[in-house]
Order: sequence, then C-alpha cells, then structure tokens
Amino acid sequence: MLKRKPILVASAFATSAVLIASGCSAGGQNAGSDPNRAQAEVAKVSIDKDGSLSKGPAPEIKDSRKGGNVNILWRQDLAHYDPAVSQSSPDNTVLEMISRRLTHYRIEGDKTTLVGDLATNAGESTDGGKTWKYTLKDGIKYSDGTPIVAKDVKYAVARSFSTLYARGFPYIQTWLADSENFAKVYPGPYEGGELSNDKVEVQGDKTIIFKFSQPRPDFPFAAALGATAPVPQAKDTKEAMDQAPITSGPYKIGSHEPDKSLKLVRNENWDPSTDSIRHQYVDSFTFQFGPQVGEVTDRLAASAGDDKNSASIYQAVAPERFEQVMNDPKIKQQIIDKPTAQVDLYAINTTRVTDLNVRKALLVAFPKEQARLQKGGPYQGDFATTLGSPSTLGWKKYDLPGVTDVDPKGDPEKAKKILTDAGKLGYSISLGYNQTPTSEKEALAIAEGLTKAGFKVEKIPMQPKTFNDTRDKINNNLDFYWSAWAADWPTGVTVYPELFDGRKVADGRPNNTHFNNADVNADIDRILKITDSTEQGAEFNKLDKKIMESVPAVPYVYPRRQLMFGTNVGGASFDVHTVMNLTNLFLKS
Amino acid sequence: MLAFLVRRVIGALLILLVISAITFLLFFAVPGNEVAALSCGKSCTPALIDEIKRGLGLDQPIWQQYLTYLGGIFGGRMIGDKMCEAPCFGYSFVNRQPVFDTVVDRLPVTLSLAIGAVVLFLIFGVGLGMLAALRKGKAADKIAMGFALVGGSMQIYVLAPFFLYIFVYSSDLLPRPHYVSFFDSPLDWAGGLILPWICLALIHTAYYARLTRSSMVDVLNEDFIRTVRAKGLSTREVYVKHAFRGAMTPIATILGLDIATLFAGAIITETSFSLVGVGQLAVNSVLASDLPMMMGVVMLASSAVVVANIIVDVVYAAIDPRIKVTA
Amino acid sequence: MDIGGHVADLVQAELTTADASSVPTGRSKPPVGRSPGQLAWRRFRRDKTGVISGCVVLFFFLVGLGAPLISLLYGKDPDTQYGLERPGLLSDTGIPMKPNGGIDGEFWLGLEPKLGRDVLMQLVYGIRTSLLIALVVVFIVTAIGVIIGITAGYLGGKADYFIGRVIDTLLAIPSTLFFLAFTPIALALFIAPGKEAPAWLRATALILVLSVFGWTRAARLLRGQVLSLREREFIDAARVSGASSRRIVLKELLPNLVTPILVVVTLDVPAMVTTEAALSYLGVGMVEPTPDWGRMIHTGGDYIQTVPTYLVFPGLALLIFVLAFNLLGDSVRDALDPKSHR
Repeated sequence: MLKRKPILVASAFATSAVLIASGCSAGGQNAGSDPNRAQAEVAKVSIDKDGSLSKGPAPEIKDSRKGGNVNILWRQDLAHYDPAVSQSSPDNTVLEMISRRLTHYRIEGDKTTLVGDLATNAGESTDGGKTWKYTLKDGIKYSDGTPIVAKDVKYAVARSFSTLYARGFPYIQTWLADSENFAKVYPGPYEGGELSNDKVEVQGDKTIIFKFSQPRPDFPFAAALGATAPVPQAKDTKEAMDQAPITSGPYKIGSHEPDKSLKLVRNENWDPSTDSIRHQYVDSFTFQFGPQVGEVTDRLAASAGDDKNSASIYQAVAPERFEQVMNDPKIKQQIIDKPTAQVDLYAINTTRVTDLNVRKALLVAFPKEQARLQKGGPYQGDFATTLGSPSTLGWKKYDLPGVTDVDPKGDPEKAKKILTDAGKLGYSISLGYNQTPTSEKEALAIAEGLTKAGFKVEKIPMQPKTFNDTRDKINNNLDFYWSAWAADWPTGVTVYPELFDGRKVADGRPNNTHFNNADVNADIDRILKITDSTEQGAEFNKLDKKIMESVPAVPYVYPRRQLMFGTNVGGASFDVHTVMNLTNLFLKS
Repeated sequence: MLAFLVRRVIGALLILLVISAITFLLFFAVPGNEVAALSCGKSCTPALIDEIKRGLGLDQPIWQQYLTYLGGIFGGRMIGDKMCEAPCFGYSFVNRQPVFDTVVDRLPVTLSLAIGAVVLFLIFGVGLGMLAALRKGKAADKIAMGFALVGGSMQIYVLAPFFLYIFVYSSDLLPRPHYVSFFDSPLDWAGGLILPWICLALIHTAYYARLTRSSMVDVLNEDFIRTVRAKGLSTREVYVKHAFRGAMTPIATILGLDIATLFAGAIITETSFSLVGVGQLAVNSVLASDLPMMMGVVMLASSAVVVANIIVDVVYAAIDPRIKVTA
Repeated sequence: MDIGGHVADLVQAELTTADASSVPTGRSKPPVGRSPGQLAWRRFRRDKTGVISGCVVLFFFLVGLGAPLISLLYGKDPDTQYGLERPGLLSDTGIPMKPNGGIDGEFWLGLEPKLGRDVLMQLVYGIRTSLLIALVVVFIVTAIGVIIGITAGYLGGKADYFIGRVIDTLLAIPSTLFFLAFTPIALALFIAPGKEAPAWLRATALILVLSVFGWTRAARLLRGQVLSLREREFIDAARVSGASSRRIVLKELLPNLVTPILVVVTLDVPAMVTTEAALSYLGVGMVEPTPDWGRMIHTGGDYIQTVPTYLVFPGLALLIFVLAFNLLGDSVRDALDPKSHR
C-alpha cells in the first residue's frame, strides 16, 4: 500500500506556493476623487443651419498619421448590420462609419454640431418645421462608385416602413404617417408601391423634401438615424442587407465572420472633401468579438504585442479593476472618461405602489452611494436627481424639497418616520434585479438600506437574458427595479414622451413605472408642439420637476463611460453616443 | 468483430436519437415564447412577436417541429426561402448563421485544447506512474503520487485566474491564451494554448499517474513478466517491451472516455481562459436562448461521447485478446 | 467540468481487474475472531494519512454544522455589510483599505470587496451550502444507484439491457450544458413570480438537477459488482436452499455491497461539492445572499490583482477539502479491501 504522508507535505507546500505566488497585496486607495474630470455637459449641441460646418474635409486631428490596423475589442458582434434595423448605440457607431446619412454629428473638442452629412446642411424649414428640405452634396458615391441620388434616400425611408425592419427606430415613419401604427398607413415599398409625394418628394437627383402634418422641429436629429442611409431600389436585398449593407462611408466591410471578427477596409470611392465628419486614418479596423470586459481591461493595460494597437469601443474598465487601473498614472493615460446621455433610475411600479408617501420613503431611504459602490463608485457616475440627462437640451438642476435634497447615503430614520406617519411601516417591496454578479450585489446593498428604513424587501433575481422583457411587462409582479434610458438625440423628445406618457403604457414599452397622469400627458402634447428647441428644452425641464413631485422613480446616477486603448493608439475620443469615436483613431507609429 | 461493430453503431445511433428527442422537447417546449420576444427589440409589439414566431416555425406543434428538424439533419430542408443543405441543424436565432457551420468552425479550438492537454497529461501521467511503479515505496514514488493527487484535487476555475495573473498579465512569461490555427502557424498555435494545456494537464495527470502505477504494479507481478525476467532480459526491456504494453489497456479505456469529458468540460475551460470554442458557443447560446445552436452543440458533444465509447471498445478488443467481443 | 465519470471507471477497473479471487468483501473471508468491520477499522487507524485526512474532513463537517456557534464566538455574521456600514474600511471603488484584503485582528480573513462582508464568515457558511447540497445529492444518487444497480445486476436480461441503455444515454449527454440550460428552468418551475425564493427551494431545484445526472456512476459500479456476486457460491447456496429473492438481495447481496457503496460515496461527495461550486461559478447555482464557494471563486478571479486573498481563501478551502476527501476515500478503500491497492 502506498504511504501518503508525503502527500500531506506536498499539499502544504502547494498551499504556501499559492500564497507566495499571489504575494502580499497592498491596501486600497481612493481613486475617483479627481476634481478635473469631465462633468456632465449641459446642452452643447448646436445645429448647422447655414451649412458652413457641413463642408468637407473634416479638420485633421493633431499628430494624426495614416496607415496601419486598429483592433477593436468587443464582447459581442453587432446585432444588426442594416442601418434601418439597428437600434443600439455601439452598433450604430460602427454603421455610421460605413453608411452615411442625411445628417450627422461633427465633434470638435467639446463642441458638437449637427451638420449635413450627405446633405449640404442640417436641413431647411421655412414653415416652422412642417416641411424639411435637403440638398445633397456633389461627388457623393457608394462604395461601388455609383453616385448617391435623392431618390435612394426616399426609397430607404419608404423601406423602413416595412414590418420586416420593424425593430428599427420608429420616429420618422411615425411622424410621416402621423400614427404609431405606421405600417397600416403605408406598408413599405414591397406591398405599398412608392411612398406618395405628399409625404416625401424628390426633385431631380439632389433635392428631397419631407412633409409632415404638424411641426416636427426635431426632424434634423431624426434624419441622423439609419433610416436615411440611402438604398438604391435595385440593390435592395431585403433581409440579406442585415449581413451586407449598402456602404458609402470611409470604410466598407472587408470580411465578416459572425460573432468572431469583422474587418473594415478603406472605401476608395469615399471622397474626404464631401465629408466634414469622418477621417480615413487607418487602413483597416479589425473587430475581435468575444472578450469580456475584464479581459479587455487586462489586455489593454498590458498592451503587449498587437494589443498596443487595440482599443475598446463600448465598455472597457471592469468595475472591479478601477482601483488598479486608475491609480496607475501610466495606464490612466490610456483611458478616456465621460458622462453618457443615459440616466439610470430605479423605477417604482406606480400601479402597485400607489401611496405617494411610500414612494417618497423609498426615495429617502435609497442608499445611492452604497449601491453605486458595487458598480465602481465615482466612475459609475454622479448621483442623479432628475429623470432627464444633463446632456439633453434645456436641462438644468432644479430644487424640489424632500426630493432632490435626499442624502445619497440614504436616511433610514427619516424614511422610517415617513412610513410610520403614513401607517405603512413594514411595507413589502419586491425588488427585481438582474442576476449578474454586479447587479446582485447592488440589490443586496439597496435591500439593506430599505430594510433599515422599515421596509420588508423581497429580492427577486431575474435572468439577465430576459430581464428587460420581464420587467417591461405590465404585470411584472414587481415594485422596484433598475431601468435606464438614453435619448436617441440630445433633446427631451425621445425621453419624456417615451417614459412618462401614461397613454403609452403597454407590454414591452419603456414606460415601466406605469406612470399615468392626465396633467403630465397634456403637458407632453403641448411641449411637443413647441418649435423652438431652447424653449422646448426649458419646458421639458419644468415637466421633469412636475413628474418628480409624484416620485415615479428614484433617480440613481448619470452613468459615465470609461474607454481604454492600447499605448500606440492615438486620437481616442467619444462620439455622440459616448462610444469610441472610430473615425478619429490613428496609430502613433 | 464486424457484427459487433455494426451492433454498437446502431446502438449509438439510437442513443443519439433519444437524446435529440429529449433535448428538443426540453429546449423547445419548456421555455415558451421568450425566444421571439428576445429577438424583438426596443419597439416590440405582440404582432411582431407572432411574426417572428411564424418565421422561426415556432407556431407548429412540437412533434412536427422535431420531425422537420430530424429530416433536415439527413436530407436538408428549406428554411424561409433559403435551402439549408444536409446535415442541416437549422440557423441560429441570434445571428442567422447555419448551426452546423458555426459548430464546425469552433471545433478546432476545442479539439486543439483537448489534443494538447491529452498529449501533455499522457506524457506526465504515464511517466510519473512508471517512475512511481519502478521506485515503488521509495521517495520518488511518494513525491510523484503526492504531486499527482494535489494536482488532481485542483479545479480549473481556481487555477486559471492564478495562472493568467502570474504568467501572463503580471510577468509576460507566457502569451495570453488565444487561438491561432495550427496550419497558419504551429508555433503560435502551441504558444496560444500552452497555458490552458498546462492547467488541464496538471489536473488530469493525477488519474493517469495513479492508473499507470497500479497497472504497472499489477503487470509486474504477473507470471509472464517473471518468465521473461528469468530468461535474462534487461530490466529496461522488461519494462518497456512487456510491462508497459500490458499496462496500456486500462489507460486506453480511461483515455477514450476522458477525451469525451474534455469536450464536455470545455465549457468551464474555455470560460476560464476566454477561448472561443464550442464551450463558449454553448454558454453564449444558452445565455441568448439560441435554441438551434444549443441543440447543435448538445448533438455534437453527445456524438463525441458515443463515438469515443465505440472506439474504446474496439481498441480494447484489439489490444487485449482476452476480451470477448459480445454485448 | 466532469463529475468524475472517469474516476468511477478507474475504480471500476481497479475493483474488477483486481485478481478474480478478491471479491471486495470481508464476508467471504475466513473469520479470525474479529468482524470484518473491526478489521477494516484497525487497518484504517494504522493509516496515518487516512486518519489525518479523516480529521480534516471531520473538521469541515463540524465547521459547517457549528457555523452559527462560530459566528457567535467570532462576533461577525455572513450578511452584515461591514464595509458599507463603516466608512474607512473600503476605498471609493470598493477595495479594502488595509493591505492583504483587509486582514486584521477584527476581520481574520479580510473583507469582501465592494460589499465589505466578512470573508471568514462567508467561507464558514459557504461550507454549509456546499456540504448540505452535496450530501443530499449523494444520498439520493446512492439510493437510486443501489436500487437500479441491484435491479439490473440481479435480474439481468431485459431489465439489465434497458437500464444499461438508459445509463448509456445519460452518460452521453453533456451534463454541464444541461445544468447550465435547465437549472433556470427548474428554478422557474419551483418559484412563483414576484416572490423571493427561500434558499432551500433553490437548493432543492439544484439537488434535483444534479441527482438526475448523478446516479449513473453508482448504478454502473454496483451493477458490475452484483453481476460478479451473482455467480458466487454463497448466492447459489442461498438460492438452492430456497431463500426468497427479497432475502437474497437484503441479506446476502446488500451486505457485500457495503464496500462499493462506500467507495462510490467517497468519490461522489467531493465530485458533487466541486460540481455545485462549478455551477455557481457559471452563475446558475445558489444566489446571493446565500454564501457559496463557487460564487466567491468567480468573484475572486476578478480581484486577483487587488484583493488576491478573496480568491486564495475559498480556492484553498476547496482544494483542501477535495484533497482530504480523496485521500480519505483511498484510505477507506484500502481499509475495506486491502488488495485493491498494492
């Protein structure tokens, strides 16, 4: 028989080896108290009405040089490649590199301007926003060399009505049809023939006019969405376009292995003199799909081998790595950090939690700071007090006693008093959370804070893949849950009507507070008709305050995003979606 | 022998059929309509969900879906207006790619992982086992067996972060685990997989070392070894020519089963090292409710196990004439 | 992850390739004044490694059992978020301020990053979770395995054939993938929407899924043993003397199966502990706030550069437990059947 005493010795040895290998670790260090970091910017977007900023070429980036290949590390492949279908912001950043639209955003330093992309300016309207006229630039071509003409833009818009692409942004279609069920009004070119001239009219090869029944002052912003990316009718391959879109930007798809890699190569038929937004610095972008956030952080921090030519696009610093990355002055140089256009809320299901006092107690008890620590502390973003994002036009911080002045650590005593006075001590709250390692801990921290304030908390874990769908059902059986919304362009038009118009409450809708207030609904209708965007923004800000009086949600944070890049990558900056601005990237050597 | 083989193959096919039926039923009948909802997006309506379901064929009764699926594997089938050639395992719900092609595309990663690990742990396992048997009862035996046991008690998901940190991110000693095709660059292929191989080998060496040791001890005690020894053969010859061969039978058995296990275990290995093989494909398709892809992976993994079992039986019969080929 | 399918084969090989005359039982050996159990116990006591690893295993069991007592004496509990309650323990990104993961006189194994719970208490209560689930699963799979193994082995013929095919089928199914896909579904079956699932309900679902795939090893091993026992003289003798099948199974077969059953149990317990940990590692096991080793290890992997202790301690605990149990299993096998190892 084998004697096993040495085995014990060996295991003791292995034990100590592991301890030695892991080494002694230093203690923590506060990392997020940088007073100079970029603050949430207040409405800096302007619109290029006269076209002076729409003329190409785009201004050169300092120290930029041409050539080379940049790797983009990203967890997942694009969900869609057809610009008419794509809705998520990192996807759109990529698609904006390969397909041009009527309008788009030009970013110089901290100045963002909506300019004409294919068009000579951001749009002309002489009747307060009921009709919008665009003139196409000269010399614009598809990647196959054929010129882009106005009727292709019209066809693309008509195409987006089809239910085949119903997953795309609905705004232009809804406005043209004046109906949420726009496919009933016009089913798209496959069944409905040409879109009638009283909606979209084309004059010659260069001019296209959109006609609405009521003022649509935000149309220039909507025109930057994928539905205006031109599609020649003869080349419409329907659903197959989701793999092979029509390309007109500085890059085109060289090769694509779904969920593995995507290579974007130069489009030789793109003329820089027609484009005031995009550059064509690198020869190619190679997307590597698959690496998780933590791996991306580690790889870019190490910048070993080809990783020095790599960059992240959407999310790069894992919450558990802020400490090591942000306290390293060298690595910190490889990170850009900025607030996004998103607001994170904890939505209260107002059809279940009907007592305003209970909702107020939730707001007062909510331990924002403890919860935020689970997601990275200050790097997750500043504490929110409003429902809209500081980046929307017209936003300003307002004071509402008892609502905006709550202690970010939570005030259990005060909350307990509100509950006791209302006779609701021990009120049961079912807290739905996404069952990911981070959100799980966030839920624990929140539950702890609420329990201290006298709530009884039921924690309901939800599957990550179905979290949004389950939450957005009207009968979700939940009281309190995380919810986030980002404007599709920087005005309140895609925020308040989507989130707080009680008439739109339905399964699968973002209005998951189920908030329905006749007064607010009427206000929304009124504000949407205001044509001056500054005035409209101010009104939306007042509406924000009015809604918060009923506390349909706990404003949590204005999330920031940190993006990282390898040591040889230059020109890293954010685009309008707060995603890596691919068009400015270059290799330093 | 041929009759035996035919019987085993038919049995294997039946097993695969049963597995496919069970899996299909469980995957497609239980989770309900969430699939359609998942691929629906921001502005989703019930009508749109219905349309997606129709497009995916989810509105048909389950048995009909299953028959269509089976038919596709053997004869190909039309999906939408596209012809899906046999063997057709359908298209991914998520990225519309053919399941079969995707699985075949990911297979080299998992296969390379398994092959390298097997080679390493066979060399170390058999080596250590032989050494232990030769020096039975001496210090070398004890150290070898102790090492094997400690290694065998480790978990890949504990080892992986340590190894990654020590050898890759903090020291640059080894390349970050990644996959390069063997045919592109054999050196990069090995370099990219060396770390997972070492981890897997460390864990699996234990069984082989112990097995080799006990089989060797067994064989060395048998009469025929004593006979050849008496005939004056050198110790080296005795070990290499006779004892080693005799000890190989149980090792072949376990190895066949272990390769199948490595395939199944790829889920954790590939997750721990972020390698994009069949294991990651499985995890991702589970997370995305990509049923056709999950089915494809299950069928592939089950086939691997079944085939490995048959090979083991055949090899077993070939190595050891004492085994009667029945059952 | 494998739940040790090949270990079973290894043991099977060891048990069956062992010299045909050595049926692993004390019963068939001539009595020398001591019962076979006593003999085994004496052999076991002489095996120092066995005794030490037995003590380690016992220690784990005691810690799991006495967790509340330890918590009382130590003055900390697994749920309190010390780091969030007391400013200064964690940095503003949630890393313990003190070196080595915040180890000090108060928090002996340091603090969990982000939430700041006590690591020692998490570990101690984690043992409970792992052992409780593993032991129940092992009990169930052994019971099923014994019943099915004996049925197949003793009845033979069609029953054996049928059971054999069922086992083949189950063994060919990639279990990890099934765990991954079906644990959420099993949970959904058990848990009403909008209600917090008590930990035991979740554990029940896990136990169910693990049991469905776990019984094959015991069944296969026992079937093989029963097959060889069936042909032995003493069974023939019992049969000839007119004993009922019931009697033969209970009085003659079962006592002779104690060794293989023990062997299976010693193999299955660590296998189930690691499988449970692996499921939690993949995110389909026990959820917060139930302390769990697998989840600690998963989280620990992300903090290896800043709080390595958070990975080292649960990783080490798992290693020591599995190692001790494997060694104990070896010793138990040796004690019961001295011929299986040479």
